[in-house]
Amino acid sequence: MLEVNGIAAAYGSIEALRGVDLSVEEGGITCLLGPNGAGKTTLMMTIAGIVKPRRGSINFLDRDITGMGPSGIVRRGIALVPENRLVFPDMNVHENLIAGAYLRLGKRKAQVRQDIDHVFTRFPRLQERSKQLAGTLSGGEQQMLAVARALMARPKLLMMDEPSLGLAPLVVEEIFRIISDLNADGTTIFLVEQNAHMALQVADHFFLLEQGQVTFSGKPGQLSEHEVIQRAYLGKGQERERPTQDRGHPGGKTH
Amino acid sequence: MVDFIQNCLDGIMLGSSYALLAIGFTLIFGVMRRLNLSYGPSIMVGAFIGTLVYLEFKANAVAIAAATVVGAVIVGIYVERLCFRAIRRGAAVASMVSSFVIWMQLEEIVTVVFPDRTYPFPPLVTADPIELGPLFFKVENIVMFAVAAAMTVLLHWLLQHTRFGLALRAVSENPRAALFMGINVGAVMSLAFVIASAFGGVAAYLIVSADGQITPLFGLWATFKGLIAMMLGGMGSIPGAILGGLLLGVVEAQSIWYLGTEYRDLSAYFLLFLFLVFRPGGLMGQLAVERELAATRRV
Repeated sequence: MLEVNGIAAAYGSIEALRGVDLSVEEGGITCLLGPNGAGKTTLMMTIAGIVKPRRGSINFLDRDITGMGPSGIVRRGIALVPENRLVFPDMNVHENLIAGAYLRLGKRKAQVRQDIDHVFTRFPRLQERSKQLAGTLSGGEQQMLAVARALMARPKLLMMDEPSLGLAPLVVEEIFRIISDLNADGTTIFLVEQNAHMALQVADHFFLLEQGQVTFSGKPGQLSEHEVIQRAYLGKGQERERPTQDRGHPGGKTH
Repeated sequence: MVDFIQNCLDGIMLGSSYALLAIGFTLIFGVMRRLNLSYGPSIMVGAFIGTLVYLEFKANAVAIAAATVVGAVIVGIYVERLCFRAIRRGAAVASMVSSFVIWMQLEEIVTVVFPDRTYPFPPLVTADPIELGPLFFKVENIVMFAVAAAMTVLLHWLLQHTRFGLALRAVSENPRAALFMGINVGAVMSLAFVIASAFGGVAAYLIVSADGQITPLFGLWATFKGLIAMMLGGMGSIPGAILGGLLLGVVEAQSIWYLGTEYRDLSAYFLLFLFLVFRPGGLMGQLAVERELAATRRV
């Protein structure tokens, strides 16, 4: 469904991606794991059309989308749930959802209204808080809203950048349940995570990204969870120096 | 007591023009997160274009108003291209400094083209004040208030009930998230500049036509009044800009009456000083400041 071939991207002179190859199969949950600074978010931004790649190509549904702007990418059917959720804090829940359907607002008002009802059935808690300002929601509710808002774009591929970031363990479980449900209902999911433990439970396929390059591609179980967590947190280079990393509960970055 | 009420009403009508200036300021600040110091000077140029149309063609009030607004919008676009588009990313200080440089440039151009400094500006209406019991109302002030109120209602409708308004609010709240929704952030920013300049142009026309004359110093004056009113209300908040403008107008009107004309600006600065010390978020911005704090604590 999505093929990323040899993508390189840089911020000024700092090279964040150094020839990344990966692919996302239709109908599955694909996961991208890797330590901080490996380039995971940059890759998401590049696919979303916000960062322009220096080299390489991106194909989506057999069409070349390399270098296309963000609105074109959203129109093609890729929506992103950004890191840190980035809901619109001074808009209420309902307005946030409408903003998610921005590109369809002109002509398809009835369809958008239908989609909002649909999203509200999936997330009853958002319906209860429909008129509440998004900035006053709890972290978990904001994450739900961010997912719901992305769904309003009717994506074929839903990309999620660290949805568990900064959330309590119980809430993280709920978010992952939502991810599985969405996938069961037919949405293809491409997930970037720090929480390797949770991610490996839902993923059909996963990639390890280290220092701007894919260093492993396979199914969960092909690498021991221990090794994945090692590499997802520290990168391969330091593995030997710190053999007994606590693998209890990955909390992710804090901000 | 009658004096006090009279001053309040005069202040509200005067303040409605400050509110328009502050709305323009706050719209630009909202989407750019940067101060546009040359906002006042760019609408001053608009007003001089209005004067030019008046002097050259003896045009009527509508044509002069239109020339003022169109002039302000054109100069506003020029400022946006030069200061805010070229260095949109990551150079907040550079944009602010360059907007200051453009301010100087605009003033220089105007003093070269209009060497006499003070130019006449025709009034919109010439009518005797309306007497209502013990109270007096200048007709031009009533017009000023009515136009400002209508513009505010129009803006409210635009922001709350149109697709463009949604996009503008999204960009003000989080430009990055707006990009993810497929919103053309650059175009929204440019249009916000155009709207802000149009508001400034209308404010300039109302103020200058009530004064009956214009000087290049109007630019400085408009930037000050708009900036102070915005700060009183809370940066980036449109209701705040309106309240801030009205408050500033009332305080000025009261101090002119009770303290003397020379205290008008001094009391405005004093009011700003009090706010900066005790309520830095302004009338409406405080909530946002507190919510941001709460959000960082919650995680």
